[in-house]
Amino acid sequence: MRFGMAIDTSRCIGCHTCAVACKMSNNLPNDVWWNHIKTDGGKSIDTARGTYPDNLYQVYYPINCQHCSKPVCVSVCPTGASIQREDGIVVVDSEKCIGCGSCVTACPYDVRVLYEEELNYSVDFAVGDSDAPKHVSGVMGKCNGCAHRVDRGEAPACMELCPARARYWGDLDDPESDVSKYLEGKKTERLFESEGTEPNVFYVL
Amino acid sequence: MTDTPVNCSGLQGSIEGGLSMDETTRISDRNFGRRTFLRGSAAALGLAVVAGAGCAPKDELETSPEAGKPADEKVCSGVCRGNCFGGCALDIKVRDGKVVATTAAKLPDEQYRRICQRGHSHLQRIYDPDRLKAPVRRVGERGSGEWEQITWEEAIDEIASKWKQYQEESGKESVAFMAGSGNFGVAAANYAGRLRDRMGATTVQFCYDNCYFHAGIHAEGVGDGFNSNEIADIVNAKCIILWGSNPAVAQPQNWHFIMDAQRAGAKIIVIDPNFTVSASHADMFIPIRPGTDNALLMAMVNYVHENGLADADYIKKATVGPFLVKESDGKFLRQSDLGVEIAKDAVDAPIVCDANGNHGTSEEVSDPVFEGTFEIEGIKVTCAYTLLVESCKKWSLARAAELCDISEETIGELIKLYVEGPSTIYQGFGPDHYVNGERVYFTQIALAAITGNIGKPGATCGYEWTYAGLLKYVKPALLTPKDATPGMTVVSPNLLDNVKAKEVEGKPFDLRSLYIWVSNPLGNQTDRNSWIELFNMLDLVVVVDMRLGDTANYADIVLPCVHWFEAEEIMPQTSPYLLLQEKAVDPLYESKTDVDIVNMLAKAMGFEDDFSMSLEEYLAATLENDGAKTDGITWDRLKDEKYIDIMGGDPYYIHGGTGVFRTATTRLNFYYEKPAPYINYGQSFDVEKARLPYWEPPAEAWPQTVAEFEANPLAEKYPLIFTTERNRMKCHTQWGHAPWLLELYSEPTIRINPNDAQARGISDGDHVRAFNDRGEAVFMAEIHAGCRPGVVVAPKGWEEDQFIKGHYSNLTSRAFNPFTPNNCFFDALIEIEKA
Repeated sequence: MRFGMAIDTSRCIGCHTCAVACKMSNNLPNDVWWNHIKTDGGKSIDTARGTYPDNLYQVYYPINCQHCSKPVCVSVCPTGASIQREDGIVVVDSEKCIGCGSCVTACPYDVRVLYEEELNYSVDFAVGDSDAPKHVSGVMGKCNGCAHRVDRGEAPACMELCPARARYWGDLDDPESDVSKYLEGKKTERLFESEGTEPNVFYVL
Repeated sequence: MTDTPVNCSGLQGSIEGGLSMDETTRISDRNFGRRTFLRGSAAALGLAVVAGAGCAPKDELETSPEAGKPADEKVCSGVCRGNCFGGCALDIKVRDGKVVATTAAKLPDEQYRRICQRGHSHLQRIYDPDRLKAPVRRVGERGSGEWEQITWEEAIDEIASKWKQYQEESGKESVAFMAGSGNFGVAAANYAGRLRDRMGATTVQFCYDNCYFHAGIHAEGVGDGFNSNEIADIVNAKCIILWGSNPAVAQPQNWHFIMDAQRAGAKIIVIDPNFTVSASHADMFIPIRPGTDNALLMAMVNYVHENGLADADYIKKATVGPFLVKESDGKFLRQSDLGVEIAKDAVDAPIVCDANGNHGTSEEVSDPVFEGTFEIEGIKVTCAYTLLVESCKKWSLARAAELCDISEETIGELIKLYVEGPSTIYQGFGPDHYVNGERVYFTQIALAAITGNIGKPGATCGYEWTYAGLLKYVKPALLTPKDATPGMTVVSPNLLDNVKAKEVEGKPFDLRSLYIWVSNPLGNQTDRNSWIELFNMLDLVVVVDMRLGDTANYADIVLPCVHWFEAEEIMPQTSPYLLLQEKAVDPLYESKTDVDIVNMLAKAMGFEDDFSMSLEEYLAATLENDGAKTDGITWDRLKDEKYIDIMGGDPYYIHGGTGVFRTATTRLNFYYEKPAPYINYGQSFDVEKARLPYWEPPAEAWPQTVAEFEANPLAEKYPLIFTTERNRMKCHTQWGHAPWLLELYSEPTIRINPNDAQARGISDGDHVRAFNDRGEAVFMAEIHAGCRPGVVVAPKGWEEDQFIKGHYSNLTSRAFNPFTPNNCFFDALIEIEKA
């Protein structure tokens, strides 16, 4: 079993619905995002590069933890806090994490954030899923694949409803899963394949 | 975000000619690390703890597999009601009496399940630390932010006693009411209008998107999809023109339909001055010169006619094409012109003529001609189709190419794809935002009509926002108080001039008080400084809002209203379902519903008899009419089912699919027999000009001389056209202070072409001052190769407190075409310099 995602860049409009669904459902602290929507285009988000009008390029890449098959964050972790579950989801055990930051340096995707000493929230009560992960100051935070949802048979929050229908999720080892069926016959890329991490997020071109 | 070199080889894209590796391999980022607008911590909120609002349990709740769910967690039905035309049905999760999450409701038809980044952020509007907690009265200068808290009783007494005084001293119309589109719920949007009409007060029409509305209603007629097929039908199109429209940002709920159509083989064509997100997904981007769209359309009409591409059968059957226009008065030749006695209440039908010279009504003449000029019983007439094509005759491809700055080949390819069809023109609001905008929508419909690209699967010309609920089932207009004596109507861009002149088209007008609800004109309408000047001339400005936003901040009294989830509502539009809003949580603080506020004001004004309905009684009453009765729709049923499918069609609703349109002629009108202004406030306009297509330059945004159309000399000082676009993180100014969304997009920005930036020494991230004679605003510059040279784009919706200096609405102009009173947001010139 290997949970993974397909994100269709030919449909994605960079709306951030996935990122905000994650922020809400996981009760993420201020300034913490587990999904980042990048523009491959100009220097700023939502801008193009090239020359007006016929030679312009602007494509969105929603980037979260790639839940790699060979997660370098797991191999560099000195305390065994970063672990990969049997279903492929990479999580951090905040009890074991010492906040050394080795994984931040090692991960090529820049999706890990070391939680600050003081975590603030925009409202004074927990939002989102009642069993959303606890966020512990001073340790590593990252997309946990919505393990709490997956464990009860639900999709991750970012997969619940993409307005562009650009996101698909499931067991990549199961040819009948939504994600496997969507990927069938499509041209894809994975980010930083040269790093040997074997990421499980496939970007459909 | 990242210093890590991004070396993913797949990101090169497909630009011909190639770019340097450095450019092709960068994943860009704007916002991470710049979060200056974050507000105070949760500890400062001081939220009232409330509990006990009721909503009926849903079946799925009981079967929810969610582990460890607290016993007091419930899910209520609700609906997002801002003016993005999403109408998204939501599941609202409430825990410990507070909204903790919003997700897309699981509507039976999967393709209409909707939510977006804003829909997920509702709880940040409800629990906004700056939410207005009680009525306040201004104590300092307007806009100074100095207020004193007052009780509801004080607020109501003060407003009502002053209104009575003003109406006695200065006439009933000295008090005016103005709404906007801040809440599409039937009660919130309409109930205050009952008081306005009972008081005989003035209506201020808010005037936006009116070019679209005007032509849509008069040329095409309205149906269940307003002037369009149901959006899901777009998958049947082979050619889709997103014309001055950017649904990828403005209507994300519609984007997947367009992508599905593309996958099914449709060509997506974007006509826009700027390379938008929608354009980045298109098969063809047509970079048109701003404000020239109707010249392109007239060239298309002309080419279609000259090359025999018109759909003769459709023109005969479904358009005014065969109707005969009298040379003497420009009206259709009708039965009465030929001496036929018209019985009372009977239609004086237009006359048509066949190739053999037989004439009669279209029921009597089966195969009418639609071209030519001739005499019928001594009356000189010309077919309406002939007048249409003659009006477009001078627009050759070459002339349009020069004016629109598009190649002839491109226009030729556009026409070829469009005529082959079935084709959908997805109307947007870009062309609407110029003073010359109304004819764009008029001629789009004419083009669709003469090519038969309307009334069929995949073929339509409009902007779909489901209208079935308002058309058939929800009738607030029936609930006008019996003693109502509505006052005059004025239009928002003229209001300051009317107040200064103390007249409206010759009628005396002494405005002293303005009541504004579901609207934020100082944040959204043109020429903000004129609104501040207006407010300074009034004795009492009352604003109903959830927070002290741009307009409330300049008011005299501000009344706190509920959030959308704090009261029951009916959402009658923009969703193919009639939707229920349950009261998910109790109103916070002292906030009240619009119905309660208006009832209190009405009672103080002495109109208690007409204003005794509760919110729920009002909602139930709006569904008590013949249309709802026929289809079995009632308040109780809606409360029980939460959503009711109201969109007809098999499988999809087709606008004009029956061949009959809800226009004055029951046909598609590309000739206006009796042109009528969109909002009639007694203005004069050029009737002859309004009958047929024409093009003239925008009022201000014409910075270069093209062909015989001379540049606006103002461009020597202000050479750039100022445009705005939907800001993904806001719906107009709503959600403008939601912390999550501000983390993603933290300050006002303006996008500029690299060459325009370089000429001004501006780099990415610089703060720049945009200015003209009307005002200024400071933005952060973003270099965007997709900006047309000479055009800048500022995503809109920011409020005054979020600008370092000024406001984007200081830059725009109030000019409009009196035939179609409107906010013409893009018809403005500016200059930019480093701040």
